[in-house]
Amino acid sequence: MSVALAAGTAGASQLRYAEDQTPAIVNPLFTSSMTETRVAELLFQSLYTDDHTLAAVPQLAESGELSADRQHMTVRLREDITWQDGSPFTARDVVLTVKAMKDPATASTEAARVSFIADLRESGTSAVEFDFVRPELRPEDKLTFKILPAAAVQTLPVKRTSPFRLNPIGTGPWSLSKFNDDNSISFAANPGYKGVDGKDDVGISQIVLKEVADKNYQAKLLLYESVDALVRVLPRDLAMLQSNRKVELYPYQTNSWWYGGFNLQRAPFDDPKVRQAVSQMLDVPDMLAPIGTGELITGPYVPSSPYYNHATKPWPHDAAGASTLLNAAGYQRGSDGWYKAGKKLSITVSAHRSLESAQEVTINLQSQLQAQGVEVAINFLDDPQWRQQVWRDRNFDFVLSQWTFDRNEDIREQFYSTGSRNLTGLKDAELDKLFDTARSTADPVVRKATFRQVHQRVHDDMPMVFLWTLDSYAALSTRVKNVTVHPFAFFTWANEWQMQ
Amino acid sequence: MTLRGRGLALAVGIRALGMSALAGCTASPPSTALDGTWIATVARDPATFTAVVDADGAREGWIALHQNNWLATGSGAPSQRADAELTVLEDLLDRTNTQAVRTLAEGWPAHAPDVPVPAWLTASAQRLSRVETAATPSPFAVDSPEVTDPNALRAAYTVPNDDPTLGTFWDPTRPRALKRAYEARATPPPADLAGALFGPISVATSTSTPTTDDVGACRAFGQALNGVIDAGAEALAASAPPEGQALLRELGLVEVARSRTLTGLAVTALRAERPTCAAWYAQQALDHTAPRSITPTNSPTVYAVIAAANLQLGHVREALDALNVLRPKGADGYPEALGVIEAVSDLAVQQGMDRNGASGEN
Repeated sequence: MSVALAAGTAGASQLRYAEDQTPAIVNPLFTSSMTETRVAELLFQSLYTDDHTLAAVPQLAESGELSADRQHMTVRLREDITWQDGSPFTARDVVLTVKAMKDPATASTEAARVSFIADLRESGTSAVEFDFVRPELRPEDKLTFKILPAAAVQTLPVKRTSPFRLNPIGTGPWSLSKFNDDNSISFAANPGYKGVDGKDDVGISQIVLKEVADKNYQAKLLLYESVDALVRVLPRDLAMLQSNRKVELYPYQTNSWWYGGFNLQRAPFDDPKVRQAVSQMLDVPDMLAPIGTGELITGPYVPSSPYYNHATKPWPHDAAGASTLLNAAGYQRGSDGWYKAGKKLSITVSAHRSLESAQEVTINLQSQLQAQGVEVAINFLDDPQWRQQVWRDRNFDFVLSQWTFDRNEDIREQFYSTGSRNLTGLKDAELDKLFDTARSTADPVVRKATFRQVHQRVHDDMPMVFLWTLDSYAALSTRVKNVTVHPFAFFTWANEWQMQ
Repeated sequence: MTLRGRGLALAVGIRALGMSALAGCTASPPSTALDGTWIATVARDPATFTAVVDADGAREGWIALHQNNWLATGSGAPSQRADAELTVLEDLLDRTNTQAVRTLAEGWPAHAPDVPVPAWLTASAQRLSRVETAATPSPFAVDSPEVTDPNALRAAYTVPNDDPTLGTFWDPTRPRALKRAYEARATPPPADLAGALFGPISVATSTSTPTTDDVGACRAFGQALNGVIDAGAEALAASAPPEGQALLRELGLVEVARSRTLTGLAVTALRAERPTCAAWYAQQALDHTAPRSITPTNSPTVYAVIAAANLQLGHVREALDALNVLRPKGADGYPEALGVIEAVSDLAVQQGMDRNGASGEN
């Protein structure tokens, strides 16, 4: 796919946006970072998508018909859609995408999003019949995962290393034209793009993702007009950007929170007393202060969430209490630290190299724990190392990281015993029951109350030290017009953006 | 700067000016785009400002008004101004609450067809309709319908209702009762500095005020307004006496005026059913370096208008985010917001009942 292909589609306009890191692969089956989510939004489409009121509207679907028992649905597909290589979009693409996502051997990170689908089949080339696990009231709200071309997913299991990752073909408003030598990626407007409600024009002819690993530098690049957009502004840069009349800030609701996650499968962090002791050694407000304003949290939701339990009390910062807990866990304080059976209490803190402000936070954390007799090593990992060591091998003591959720704030995969994103290895049968209750109830008031219980229970289990949520702001040059930022995927409506 | 820090700054600034306020007055200052506004009066004639804030022992009240701490304005002119602000705030909360309760009740059969509509929700929707035409502030669950003292009403609003037949729920008429109570107590602001200080300003721009919900037009108008204020502030800062310049700087008066002007535009746009523009103006009114807090630039009203506009636009989760700033913390804040937050929370949950969530690292 060449840049020239799209040159005639729109005016010669280019939007350059900064990311901390260029995604190593581009394949929605294996999306795990927000950077990848944003790129996927440029390239791919779904059966249904969000309109500006965040209601589900047909995108690749033409219409949907739900059976009377709500367990079956026939989705008729648009017949005017083509893949960026010119081949037609058909029912086979949808069926094979879902089967790939559900294939255990593929181990798609998005598998949970299709778990409500029991089976599906093609009905001609332009319709798909879905069978659901249980009755669905509004299945279109769930049919929002990205669809890939059949050729990319027909051989199971699909591998992360498949060549598709470097040459993705979508139906979205832009196509990937090149991975550049400077770690940037160029995207060209898709001349065959078909949008929702006849919005087929793509306002910006080229988008360039620029990797700017040093986040401290990103705001300056925007002011110097070396980039046109920042997807996430450091809190400390807000004042400088707000006062600049060539830049506009766009707050958006990301539901992100920071945490320090223990490896519960590894001693001594399998002992809740040790986890609580470490937690009580930490002065979390002191850790937050250098990186900007934010709100402290006591559990796995942001404070404005309907599920946040405001009755949950934070664990105290209490050095004496931490000592008592370590004694109870069998540790004795020696001259240079805490010992149990001759082994010194030590902890390795792992963090993704691209996590903003991670360096300040980890150094502060190290300083605090070492002052209280816990040996701390810091391990910054690049993306492949992070995936291998943390996600595949579970070879870590404690990770510093951040989760970002869409507005549904569905944390089940992070904390359910068999959840695909249960990094810490938490297993709590009572917690699982709460998740099951919340999922099965049709009563919103019951669901709200149940998730508030989940908040309390996760807080008590302490698989993580829950840290804080930071406000999310995008910043764009005022030369970019008609901007509306999607609160999670960012670029959902970017086809409507214009460059002055 | 924190609320406490700002208050201290104001107090120190006023005391310092009291000694030398007249020293730097300019006889015929050059005109600026801010002429005729309270900012120009304060900057050029700090003595007038000092006289107003020191009148009738109301200094602490003016400090509270400057900080948007409306419940601490005491009595006198600052309190009267705060009553007007609180009337607008409660009106916005009422608007948000009413929409949330009605949408929740109306949407219940579609989102939860197998679950009976809770009795409290049905009753809430019915009572909201009834109270719209009722003479008393709240004939529903307020313990004493005849109570019209806002402080007494607010004191009764810290806990939800517990009705033996309806269960535990938040009285949906509370913001309306408070709005009416403040409305009844409010008096028109005097046509002098005391009636305008720390309020919105009116300046002429070459861009006309939009009349449609076109965010592009509103953005152009807002940017033109900012340009005029920036230019006026720069000229004023250069021509004002040192004491006036110190006041502008120390109290952040230009940003206060800018924020309250944009907030006023947001409220007007919302009432004219232009929620997209309302949301944009309100976001521009915020000082984003102090997010989720009440400060001299970030008033309770700006969060309430963001909530109301977002709810109208269907962005329920964003509405909740703004409302959460008004959640009472300890003895501070607005307990009546708790019921609004719960209503919008229920609506957010209802609208996400059928969805799967997505998540990502970093």
